[in-house]
Order: sequence, then structure tokens, then C-alpha cells
Amino acid sequence: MKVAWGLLLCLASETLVAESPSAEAIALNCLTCHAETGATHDGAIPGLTRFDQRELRQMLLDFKYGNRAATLMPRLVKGYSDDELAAVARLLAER
Amino acid sequence: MVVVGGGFGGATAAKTLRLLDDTIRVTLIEPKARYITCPGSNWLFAGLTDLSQLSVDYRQLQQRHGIDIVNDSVAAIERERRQVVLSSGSTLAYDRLILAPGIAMRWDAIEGYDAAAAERFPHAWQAGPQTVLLAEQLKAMRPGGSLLMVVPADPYRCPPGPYERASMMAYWLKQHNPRGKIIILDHKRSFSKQALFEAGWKQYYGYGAASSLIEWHCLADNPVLRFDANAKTVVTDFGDRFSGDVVNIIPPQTASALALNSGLADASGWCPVEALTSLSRFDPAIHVIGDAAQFAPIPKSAFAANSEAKACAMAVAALLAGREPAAPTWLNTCYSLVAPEHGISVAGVYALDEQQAVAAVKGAGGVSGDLSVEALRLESKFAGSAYRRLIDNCFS
Repeated sequence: MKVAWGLLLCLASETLVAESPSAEAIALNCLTCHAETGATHDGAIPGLTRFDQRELRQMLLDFKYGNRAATLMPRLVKGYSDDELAAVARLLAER
Repeated sequence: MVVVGGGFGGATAAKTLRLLDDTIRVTLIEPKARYITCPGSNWLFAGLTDLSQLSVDYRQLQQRHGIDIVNDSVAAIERERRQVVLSSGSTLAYDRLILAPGIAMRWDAIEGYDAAAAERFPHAWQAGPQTVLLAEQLKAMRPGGSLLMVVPADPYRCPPGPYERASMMAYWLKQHNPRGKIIILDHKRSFSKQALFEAGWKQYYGYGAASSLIEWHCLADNPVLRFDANAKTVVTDFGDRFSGDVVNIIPPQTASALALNSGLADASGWCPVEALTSLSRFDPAIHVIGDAAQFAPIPKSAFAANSEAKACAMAVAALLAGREPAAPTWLNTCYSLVAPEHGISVAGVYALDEQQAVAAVKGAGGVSGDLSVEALRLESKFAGSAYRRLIDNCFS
């Protein structure tokens, strides 16, 4: 029992969240700004359909770990675990 | 399901419910046929937009998403009977109600500043004709005149809004009335994106110099108590008097009258909710979202209302299906224009903490980090792009 609680606390400590939000809950928020189309032009927020799952996941991780610069995304993805980002990349690529 | 209020929160909740489960029947009650958005409305002061560009309607929600739109206002919520009474006299029963009624102004906060005074001295904090009137007053101001802007203490709708407004007004003054001045009288000690706003004001509007187009004064310990409309003067607790050629008082706010009259607000004037489900602390069948609800530390913004609506819709869909609601996630992003080609932003990611309260996720969020000319220009483009996407995501 002690081990289980320790594990739970350890999992929770990364983001102070009691439970992980679903990929669907996160994705709904991505789609506020990012359209489900590929069209883009200068100053437009990029759409999502031109990326596959692997590309999306890598981009999200690169934003999170400072390997890819952007005005806003690094600030947002730091709110999610790597597993959550992988799950949301999978869901968005499937749509 | 009945949703009351067709702003960003209500529209998104209605749409998301239908996307999650199209067997749920959703009725959206909103008195206005067209809704004028507060986001983007400050851009009108710099001549970058107009009311028609800020207007949305509900046809897409009806046609594409099968939401019943009722063009009426709610006179009362009969909580025991689980029904709403419309101003037309008819009633509408609900299993669950999502309330997204927005804000009301506190007319008792500053003596002499009431709804009638606001017709002449617009707050313009609910976008519409008052926004246009205030812009006209700014443009008609005598050369070298000053505009007083009174800003409330937290919490209120759109924390960075007053400072973006001052920026857009100063942009107009710089071209047309360069000796004019915006004087901000603030009931806070500091404000959202302050360092970024002040750096931009310094760059464009001479901030800090005697000739600055913008002055900011903290009145946190010396609040404005009275407004003398004839003298266009506000009087503070210590008896200080500030006069302007144009006066823009943004009063303190509460949840809408409907929320207050329905017994859904606490002594603060806002509606406390259980964050997991957004259920009212006072009614197990009513969810409250948007500016009217207490989701602090999430700010009262349109973007946040959209995010709260999605979390609420997911919780409602789960509850209707007899499932446990899952962990929510909330996002907020607010762009502000300091000048047409100079945008700044603040963002936050929020989750439930161990006490089931909303908490900002540590390490995430914050304000714009890259202050290069190119990044600020890009953020100004994203401000417009994010606005159009948000409208799309909520209303079509």
C-alpha cells in the first residue's frame, strides 16, 4: 500500500495534478486556435492536417524541451506530460 | 440540456455537447440575434475594426450543430421545478442547466456612476454602441485634452483589457492629437503583462516622460468613491479630484443579475463551482461557466470561457451517461495589441490539484518571452488570427 501511494505521489508531482486529463480534453483546447485544415499563410496559426502523428509528437516535445522556438507553444506544452503530449498527437493525427 | 447565454462560454458549451453526443438535445437561450464580441473591441479605438466585424450570429450553431436557438431572455430560474421562465412567459424544463450569463456592473460602487450615467460616460465593457460612443468621444476630444480611465480591482472581465484599450487609444492620439493624454486610475497595485505593456508604451507613446500619451496611477489605497458628471470629475477617498475631457469608468463587476437573483452567487458576487464538473455549489443541476463563475486562478476571459465550456460539456456528457467525470484541463491565452504591429500575450495551463481546486500548472504559462521586433510582429498577427479562430471555434 505504501509503495502504491508513493508511486501516485511521484506521478502527481510533475504537474500537481491528481489525475491525467484525457487526450480528448486536451485536443479540444488545441482546436480552439489550430484549424483542422492545412491552409496557412504569414501570421496565420498553422492548421494541423499537414502533420502526421510522429511529426506532431516530435514538435510538441521539441517545444517542451526548448529544441524548437515559437512565440506561444512552449508555454502551453510545458503544462503536460510527455505521455499526454504523445496521446494528443495520436488523437489529432487520427481526426 | 438548456444553456443560458450565447457568449463565448454558452455557445461553446452548446456546440461541444452536440459534438460529444448528438443524441443530447440542446437549447441555447440568448436574447440577442447578433452578439458583439468584447475581444477585439479595443482595436476599434485605433481604427483597426468596427462593430460589424465584431458581430457574430447563431445560424451556424443552429444549422450545422442542430442546436435549438431561443431568442429570448430568462426572467427567472425555478430551481425546485428545474425550469426556466422566459421573458415571453413560456417555460422550459431542463435536466441540467448550463448557465453562462456573463457579468453585471456594480452600480453601487461609485456614487454618481449608474446605468444612466454610463449612457453619457460609457464603460464600454460589454462591447456594442458604448464602444462606438467612447471612440467618438476620444476622437472629438480637444487638442491636448485628457481621457480618464478608471480601472477596478480584481476580479473583473478581461484583466489586460484596460491596458490594451489605453494602448489603442494612445495609438490614435499619437496620430491625431499628440498632446492628448490617457490617464489610468487603477485600483490595483500591478496589472496583467505590466512589464510588457510599459516597455511598449515607452517605445511608442513616451511613457515615463512628462509628455507621455499614457499615465498610470495606482489608487489601491485611495479608491474612487464618487463621480461628478457635470464636472467630469472623479473624487477619491482622500478627497483627491481627477478631471478629464472624456471619462471612461470601468466599474467593479459581479455575475449577471440572473445568477444573483437565482441565489447562485456568494457574498463576492460571483458563482462558486465545483471545478471538476463546474456544478454550482448551490444547485446540483446547474453548471456555471464563463465570467460569472469562480474559476480563479483562471482569469475571466473569452478564451478561458471557451475552455471552461469544453470541460463542462465533457463533465455533463459523462454525468448524463452515468460515468464519472474525468480530469479536466483548462487553457487560457490572451493576446493584446500595444500597437498594430506589436502584440504580446499571456498564457496559462490549469488543472485540478489534490484538493480538487483549480491550480495553475507550475512551469507552464507566463508572458511573451521573445521581445524581438519580429516576434512581437508575429504575435500581433497571431492576435488577429487567434481571434478569428476563437470566433469560429465557439460560434460555427
